[in-house]
Amino acid sequence: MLLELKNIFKWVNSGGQRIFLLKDINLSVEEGEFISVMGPSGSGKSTLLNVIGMLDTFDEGEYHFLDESVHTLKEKYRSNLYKEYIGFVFQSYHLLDDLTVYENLEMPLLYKKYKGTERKAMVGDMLDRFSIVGKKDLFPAQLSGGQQQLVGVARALIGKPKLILADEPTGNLNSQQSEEIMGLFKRLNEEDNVTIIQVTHSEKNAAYGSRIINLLDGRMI
Amino acid sequence: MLKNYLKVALRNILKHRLFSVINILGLSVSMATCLLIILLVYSQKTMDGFHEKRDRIVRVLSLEDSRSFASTPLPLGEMLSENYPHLVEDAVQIKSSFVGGDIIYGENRIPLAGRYADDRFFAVFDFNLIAGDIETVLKAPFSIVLTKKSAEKLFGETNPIGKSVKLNDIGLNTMGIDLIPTQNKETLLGDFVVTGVTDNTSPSHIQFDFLVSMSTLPSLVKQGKSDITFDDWENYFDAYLYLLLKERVSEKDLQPILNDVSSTKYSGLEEVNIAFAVEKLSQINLSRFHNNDISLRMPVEVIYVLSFLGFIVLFSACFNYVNLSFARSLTRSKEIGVRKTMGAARYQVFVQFILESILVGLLSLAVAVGLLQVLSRMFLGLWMNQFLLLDFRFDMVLFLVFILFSIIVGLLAGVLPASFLSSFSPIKTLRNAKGILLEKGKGIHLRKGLVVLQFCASLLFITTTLLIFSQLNYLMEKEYGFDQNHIINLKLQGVDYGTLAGELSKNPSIQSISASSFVPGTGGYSGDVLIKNRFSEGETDLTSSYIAVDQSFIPNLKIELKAGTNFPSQMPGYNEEYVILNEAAAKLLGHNMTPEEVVGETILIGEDHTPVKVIGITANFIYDLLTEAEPTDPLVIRYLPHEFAYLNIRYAPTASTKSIISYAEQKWKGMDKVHSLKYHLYEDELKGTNAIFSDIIYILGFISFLTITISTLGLLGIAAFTAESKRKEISIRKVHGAQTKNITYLLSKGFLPLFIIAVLVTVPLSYFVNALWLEEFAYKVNFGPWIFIVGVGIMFITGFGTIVSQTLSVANDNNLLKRLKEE
Repeated sequence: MLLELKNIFKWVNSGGQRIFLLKDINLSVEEGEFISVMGPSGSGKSTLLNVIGMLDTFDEGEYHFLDESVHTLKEKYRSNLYKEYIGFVFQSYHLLDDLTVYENLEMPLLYKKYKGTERKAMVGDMLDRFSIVGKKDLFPAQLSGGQQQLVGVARALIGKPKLILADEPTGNLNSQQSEEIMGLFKRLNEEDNVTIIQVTHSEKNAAYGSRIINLLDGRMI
Repeated sequence: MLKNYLKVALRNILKHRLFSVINILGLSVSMATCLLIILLVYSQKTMDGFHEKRDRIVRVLSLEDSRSFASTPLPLGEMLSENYPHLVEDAVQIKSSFVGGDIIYGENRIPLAGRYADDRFFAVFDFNLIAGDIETVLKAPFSIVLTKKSAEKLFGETNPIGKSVKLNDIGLNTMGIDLIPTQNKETLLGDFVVTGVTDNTSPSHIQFDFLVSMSTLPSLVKQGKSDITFDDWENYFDAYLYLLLKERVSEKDLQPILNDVSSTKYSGLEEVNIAFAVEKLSQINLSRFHNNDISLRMPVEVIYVLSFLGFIVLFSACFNYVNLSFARSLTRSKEIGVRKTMGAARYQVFVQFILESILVGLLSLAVAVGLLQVLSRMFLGLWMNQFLLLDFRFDMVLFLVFILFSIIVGLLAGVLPASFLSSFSPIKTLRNAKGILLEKGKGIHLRKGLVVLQFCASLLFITTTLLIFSQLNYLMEKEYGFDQNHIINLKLQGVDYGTLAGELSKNPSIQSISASSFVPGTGGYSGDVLIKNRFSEGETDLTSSYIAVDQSFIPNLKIELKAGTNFPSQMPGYNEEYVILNEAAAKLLGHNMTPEEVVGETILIGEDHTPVKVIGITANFIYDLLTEAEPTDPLVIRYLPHEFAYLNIRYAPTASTKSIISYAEQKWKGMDKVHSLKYHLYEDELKGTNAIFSDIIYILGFISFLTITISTLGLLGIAAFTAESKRKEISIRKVHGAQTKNITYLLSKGFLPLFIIAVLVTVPLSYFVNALWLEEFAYKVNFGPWIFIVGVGIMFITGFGTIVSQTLSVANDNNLLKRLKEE
């Protein structure tokens, strides 16, 4: 078991009323799964993803990741945990505009205290694997959306995470680019046994996954 | 890691040029100002650094009441070195007044100024003695040590050692300034043997053209050429005392002994009570003001004021950095969010932003060092600095200090933005595509506060500068009570005034000539004299300043006689019989009498109460420096030919000044072949006495210019980013029919309350601060509201000009609709 959510609630207070963002979520994810989270706008997909990614907190419930109880951990340990095991892919790529492709890939490694030579090897390896060696000195603005997302995925993978969280990874891409990215996810999942949880609006993309979770108004249905 | 941070920082600096230029420009100009102050302090601190035993050398100070004197009683030195050998290893005394005049060797006659120093001088100090024996050069009476420069002037290539020179004292001083009272008499001190040559080019607070052995003085006393006494404990003006302390003895160990000396010597005396203190050699050039100092230097108070001004400007520039960084948090928030999701801890983000601000600091330093070259030259050109020992030298240590300083500035500017930016939570920054909203959160109050502070500082400086400027103008145009036009004042320098006046009066363009002991209104001074009414038995003596003049002086300067007459053309040669008083002196003496009644009275003057007859009363005229003068300053006008030091030449308004001067020059050469003619145009000289004001105006004007520039730059940045961040709002409003003026109003109105707060705070503050110093002047300008009106006007125009220019560019942007679609 990679992670388990038990009776997770998250709410905000607005105008004296409690509005639930997540309501009684129970979910367990095994290593090697490829899960698609679906639902209409505002149903809590991204919130769920952020909670799993430990970027956001929740108000009630238990969250176990590997052998750790996330809900009891202090902020610092939590960030160490996600730093080590989780990679993020965003809809709008979130590459740093001022860094080249190479530097964008290197960036997460800087925060993990790898040595210079190790970093070089790891980035080089990733550039090879994604066939973007020729683009390593370009800035994000010089790449197409698909290429940017490719770099985004490569960056998420470079720290060798167990879990990749992707929030509408193809939302800004055309269909051909989308297929490439989804194909990549599928291969990663099958060949490298990386667990993937993606949020998507598209039935087609959801079909790449092994399991679909549907959310409505913060509830799993 | 570091490399990556620096790379990102550099790219950021290059990418956001407006932001970077504003920051680097503001920081560099303000840093240049601070570097100048560092340079100033450093040069003062390293002065006298060439003495090997500098850490153990101290100077003894005399304290009386609240005043401190750099000089001490003459017997103190010997007393300390004889009685306390376990503390004092060595002591050297230098006589406080100059021995100055001409040194004559054969046909060569050179004007030089030197000092009496005792034989320990070269043992304690490490002035490089090129020739002569350290222990004995200043031992024997009538020994003289020349500086290398003086020796070359006097002897050329010849070896000066063992040669005999004549020394003629006419009261020259090495500082070459006229403020020190000079006497118009010569004393031939006798023949001196050159025993040594020293190279005194290393910067030191002890300045001299030559040194004469202190042991010469007793012989001079015997010959009646000096009236110095070596056992007078009550006179603390005579000598500077430097002690070389034993190893591991600190100045604190000496203090109880000095207290003992003070209590044994002075406890029995009622009138004199002197305490002693010590100051380290390294502190001498950076200490507070002492009376009777060995050389003029910048008192540390001035450095404090300059540093204060420098730091205000620097803080203002740092405010800009903080302000703009906060404003830009909008554009940086995504980066912070991404870095944090990729595993960056808060401290890592913090370090990154701090490094960025340090980099900006270092880049500013590079610009500032360039600016410093210009600025230091401008500073050295200030009027006051011609009197000061300033020696700006650059070395490695100074360079490191500069770098350290710029890093500190970087930290100072960066710490607030860095801690603010690094606190962003990744989820919030990534969720809104727009990032953290500008107008929300704690940043906004801080930024508004900083803008207000900048407004305040600018307004304070503008109003102060305006006021000083108008005060200067007032003083420049002030009537002195005499006619200074078409008068040339000529320094007698020992030449007989009767002969010279006789020669000069042959020129038909010269209308009249008079003589005086000092030139009224230029800071000269003859001294005070006690005055007393004849029948006021038991009453205490009154004190008045006096001036010695001849019969022509009052008509020559067109001073108004209120009652009585001028001195008669035939004056008795010896005994003083008549005096003329000014109205203030008459009032001081007369109590209830009118000035007219005082005429004909006999009063007593001087310590020995000489009876003299008052023959005339003049109107009050300003004889002191205008900045010091009071309308009620009493003055006794006396006829004392031996004190005449200046000739006042009135020439026809139609005559050219140049021709009069060249005529005087020609006559002068006939009478004094050694000294050059020293003269001033009276009108210019009086204006020159206000030169210190010009300095203050230059300095404050420069600082106000900087604060205004920096705050304008800051406003520019803030306005640009406000406009930028409200593009969407502007677009929506324009779509719904808003016009340019509405938009401009909308964007500018936020600054108006800040501006009003600044005005409300600063106007009373400025009024209070400025009224405080203005009170010190008896003659002062009317401190009216116009200064504030003009000041606020300048602020308003520059400030809102900046904001409007920025907002107009956004408001006039016709591509707004397109932008809206992109949103």
